[in-house]
Amino acid sequence: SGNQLQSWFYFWFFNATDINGKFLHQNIKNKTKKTLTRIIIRNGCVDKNFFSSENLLSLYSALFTLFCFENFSLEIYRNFQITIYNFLRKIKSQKTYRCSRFGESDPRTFFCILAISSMLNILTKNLKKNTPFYFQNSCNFDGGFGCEKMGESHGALTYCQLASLTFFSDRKFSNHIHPNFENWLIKKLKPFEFGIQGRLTKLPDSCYLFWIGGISIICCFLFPIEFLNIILFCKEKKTQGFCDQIGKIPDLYHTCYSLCGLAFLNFTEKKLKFFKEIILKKNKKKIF
Amino acid sequence: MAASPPIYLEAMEWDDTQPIPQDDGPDPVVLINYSVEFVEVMGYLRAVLEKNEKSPRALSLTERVIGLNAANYTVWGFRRECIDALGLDWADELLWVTELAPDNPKNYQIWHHRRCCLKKLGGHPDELEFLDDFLTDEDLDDGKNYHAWAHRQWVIKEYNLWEGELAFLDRMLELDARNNSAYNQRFYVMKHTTDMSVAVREREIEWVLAQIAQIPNNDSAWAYLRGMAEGFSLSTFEPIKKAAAALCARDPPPPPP
Repeated sequence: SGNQLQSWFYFWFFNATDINGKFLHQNIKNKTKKTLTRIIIRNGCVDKNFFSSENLLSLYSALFTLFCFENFSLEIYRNFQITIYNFLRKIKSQKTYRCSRFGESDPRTFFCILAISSMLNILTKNLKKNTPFYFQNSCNFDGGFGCEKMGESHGALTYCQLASLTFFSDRKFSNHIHPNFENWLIKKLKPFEFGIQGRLTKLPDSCYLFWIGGISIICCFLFPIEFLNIILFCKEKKTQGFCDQIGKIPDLYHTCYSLCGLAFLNFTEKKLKFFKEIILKKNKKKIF
Repeated sequence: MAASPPIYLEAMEWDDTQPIPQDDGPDPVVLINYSVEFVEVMGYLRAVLEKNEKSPRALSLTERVIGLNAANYTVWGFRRECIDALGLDWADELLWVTELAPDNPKNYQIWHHRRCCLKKLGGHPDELEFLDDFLTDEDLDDGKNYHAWAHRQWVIKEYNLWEGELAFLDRMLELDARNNSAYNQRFYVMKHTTDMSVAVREREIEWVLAQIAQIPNNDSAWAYLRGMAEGFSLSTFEPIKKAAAALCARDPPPPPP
């Protein structure tokens, strides 16, 4: 089995370049596409020996790297659909999904399943069966979500839960949001400590620009443009990469998610401008 | 093409097996520069997995692999299968994985493996003590380790070890009054050992208000207070009324217009 993080390196790198709009030589894109396509599926099923033996998280990162590129031919796409659907059925336990045959299950796995099957257009009733129970009472006393019921509320795990909820259009799921949820989220924004934290009283980390910022975007909560400053300060001078806190060593993971956070801030700013313009136009109409 | 005999593994032990090389495809991108030992050990692991060989040498091979890359999912699952197949003692396995804990505190697989061992054993008397030591270890300095707390929650619930938990949490808060994991755990204990009646909540609110009095900007304490008062109007609780009155006396609110 290959190095566990390998597929994630691919994902962080290509996602970051994709968001940044950086030009990548077609050669690199083709090579990566070929390697990943060939390796994800081998002998008619998800490859056991690459990317840590049929592990859901690795599969997620490998697939989403591929989705950064152009679309595949119908034949390859269909092959992916069938093979990966079989794999997803295999790792479903009673009310939730495991990471792999031997693995753990937590909000990350559930989100990956929904994201993968939705992208490949294979999100069937069978895959969703019994899983809505997963949300019932799964949030913590303070409104956030942890790895299991009453596990400490964690930014990234809450993101996975929230994002999973968006795949279910059933209105009753909004009942699973705790009344204190917005307050919990806002509390993670720490302008004085110059960052966003993932858990209360912990140090801020630039990757939470994505996890917490993402929740803000989904729920249309506050996400101030001032947090752009964190991105600027977490950018390391020599390599221009991003690190988790000011002055630390940059890495791919934080670079990828800082750039995602930047994209979110850009989105919020544009939305704000758009609405300001509308209000301005409305006011003008009133005057004249 | 016969492979050369292994350098890091015992050649005599493995002379009947051909290692299977990693197949990155014909034209790989971003090849990782693995060490020679890693390549060799992984090659033999792939061979053993292919044959589904659950032997003593396979078991010691899994130990080698884990030593080089503890995040490899496959090897942990396969190791558990080997232990079952060989009929070995899970208590020994628990001891072995305990040795690994300090070097890999944030590794999902190790904690998951621990949980599997405990499930096989039906619990272990020293488990809570291990967690106590882990969370209060000065060198590790990881009193907020997410995996450790999640594991602790499972252990306590599974084996009914609620007694003494509050005392431990008091100790944790003495070490770090802002430990959000400890506050979360306290709520967990309260939820499972009490009926969360108004009386219980009031007692807890009184306790947390004392904590807030010592460190007024402790976010975790405020969150705990809010959680305890959830679903009730704030004026239900005497301690809150008293604290609010005291605040108003010290810092009178502006008169209504």
